[in-house]
Amino acid sequence: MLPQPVADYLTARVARQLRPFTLSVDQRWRLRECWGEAHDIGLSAFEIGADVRESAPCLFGQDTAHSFTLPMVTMGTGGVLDVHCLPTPDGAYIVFVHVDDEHDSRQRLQQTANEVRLMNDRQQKLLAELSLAKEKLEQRERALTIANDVKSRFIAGMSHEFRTPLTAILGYSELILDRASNETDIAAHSQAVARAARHLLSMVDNILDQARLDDGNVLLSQGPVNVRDLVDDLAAIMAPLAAARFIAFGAYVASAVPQAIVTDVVRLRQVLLNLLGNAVKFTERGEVRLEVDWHGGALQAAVIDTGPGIAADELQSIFEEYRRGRGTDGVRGVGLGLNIARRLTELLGGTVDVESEVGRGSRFWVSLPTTETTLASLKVATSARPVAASAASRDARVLIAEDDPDIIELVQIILRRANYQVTIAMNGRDAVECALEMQPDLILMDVNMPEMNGVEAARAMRAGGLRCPIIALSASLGVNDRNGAIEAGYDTYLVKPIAAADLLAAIEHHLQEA
Amino acid sequence: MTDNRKSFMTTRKICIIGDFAVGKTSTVARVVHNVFSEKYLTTVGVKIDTKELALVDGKTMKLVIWDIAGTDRFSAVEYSHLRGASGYLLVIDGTRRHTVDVALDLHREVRDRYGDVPWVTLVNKSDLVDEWQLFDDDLAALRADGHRLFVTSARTGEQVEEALGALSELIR
Repeated sequence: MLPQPVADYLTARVARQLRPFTLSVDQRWRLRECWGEAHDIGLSAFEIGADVRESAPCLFGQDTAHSFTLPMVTMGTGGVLDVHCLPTPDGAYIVFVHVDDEHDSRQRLQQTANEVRLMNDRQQKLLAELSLAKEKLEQRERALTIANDVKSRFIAGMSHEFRTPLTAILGYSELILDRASNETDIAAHSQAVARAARHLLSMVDNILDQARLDDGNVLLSQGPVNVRDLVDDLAAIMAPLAAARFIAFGAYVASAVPQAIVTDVVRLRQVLLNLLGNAVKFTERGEVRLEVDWHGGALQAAVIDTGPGIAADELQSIFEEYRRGRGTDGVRGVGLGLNIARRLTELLGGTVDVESEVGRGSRFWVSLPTTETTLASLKVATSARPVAASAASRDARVLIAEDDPDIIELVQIILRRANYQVTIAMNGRDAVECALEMQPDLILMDVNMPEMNGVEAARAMRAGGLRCPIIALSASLGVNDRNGAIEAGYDTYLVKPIAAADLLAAIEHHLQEA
Repeated sequence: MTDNRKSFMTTRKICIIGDFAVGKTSTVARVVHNVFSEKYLTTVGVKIDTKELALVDGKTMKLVIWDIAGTDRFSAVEYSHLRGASGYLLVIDGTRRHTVDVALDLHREVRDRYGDVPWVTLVNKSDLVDEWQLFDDDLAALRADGHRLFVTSARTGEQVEEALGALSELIR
């Protein structure tokens, strides 16, 4: 309770501070009277009898029968207001009071709080991104560690595996050159050199296959395959190798196996040769068998041996690259064969697995889902390859474009023995000049040559009107290199080293077609 | 003419709700004044604006837009702001995933208190592509839950008019 003068004083003071604007409205929001200046609260003037909600939209949706307060309402440019409704028996008083200072103070606090929360949000996001980046880096580090480990194993393996056949090649070559060696010795030493060189080549091929598989650069060539012919080929290769180690070899094809299947014969042969080669290599006594069957639309090829067996904890790791089993130190090989066999099989759409018992032997099997076809879809293979030119192509003029003197000498000897006339060019530019001038019957051209490479040379020769066959002699197995050469104008792409018989067969084939 | 037009013009109260800093005030500024400010200034209480909108049938609707201060839960004050609303815009910030949960909570609170009030959901800040945290699956889930969804940008104006138009058709 206050004395009246004090109450009046405080009322006036509060009124000055709050600058109230008051409306008296009926129950349908029509204006009866107002006190204060409408523009002071940012509203246009009110008309007696008009619906006040048109000018004060904050009242829209409200009810005059109930008291309410709308705190901190901003409408237009009239500042911030609290809006109070004080119901009366026949309407209501609507009082607008300024609360700008309180609003600004609260806004500053709320603004700070909100900005802190937003910063926290951003910080959380950044931390999450950092965490993800860290995880990715750790993954890459792990991958690099594994790659380094593989590289170390590779280098450790390569040093030994390459030096061994190279020692044989160099040593036996010296013996061949030794005047004290007789013809029998020279023949035996030459055989040893050839074996060591083939072994070296197979290791190089394995390493290159591995690299191509890593790059996804292996293209399959699916076609009809005579399964029984394939098994005969494999037996022809493996039987002598097994016999040399005094172990038995057998190859069996079940009657259920179709005459022909659709797959990449080169890659399937490679897979089975890798498995058979391993089996023969590691088996000291007993036998190695290849059993081929057909179940549920899949070729099942099992390689069974009576070798030392593989410990249970190594059954999967033996498929890793550059991985060799325990107790294999004395055996040749870099540890890529099984890895390549598995990866190639998977590329063909199949699987490779193994079961083994230490001391009893192992069974590797390939399961290859594929489709059956008939022998009629197979092209008839060419028969025995000639080692000499046919009468029709004897004296044919062959241009050899090659920069390596040893290869030139080797190819010259092979071709001259087959009665071809040989001309030599030692770089691409000379090859083009010579070819366009002499118009040979056939060109054997290296791809990698100085001055102008074989691809550019072939293109220039074709542009100059040359129509004779051009056979590539390349050291590259890359699919892109092969395709590029054919596109430039080569007719056939042969990969070094190439057996004399295969080279002559290719030359004869093209001369006869031409 | 003005008086005749006003007598045929429907007036409807709509609210715009959502978590703080999702772009409610910016959306209203885009709708009413066709402007955008980069500066973030938090709303305290409620801001009220009006907008006249042409409807599909050629009639005009006056929208009284209540821009309610961002919150993750309604108090008595916000409930009083919502009283009498014919519909509402529910706003989510596409660069802050948790604003979806806040929006769904607020939507539930409105439904529990005021029943089946028409609404349209805006997923705002579509221009901030690099910071976006909501993906097609999230939007599909919202649509499957009955949300009429618009991916908007108050900065560029993308889909803002469309969202408002859709709500207007629901509340006419």
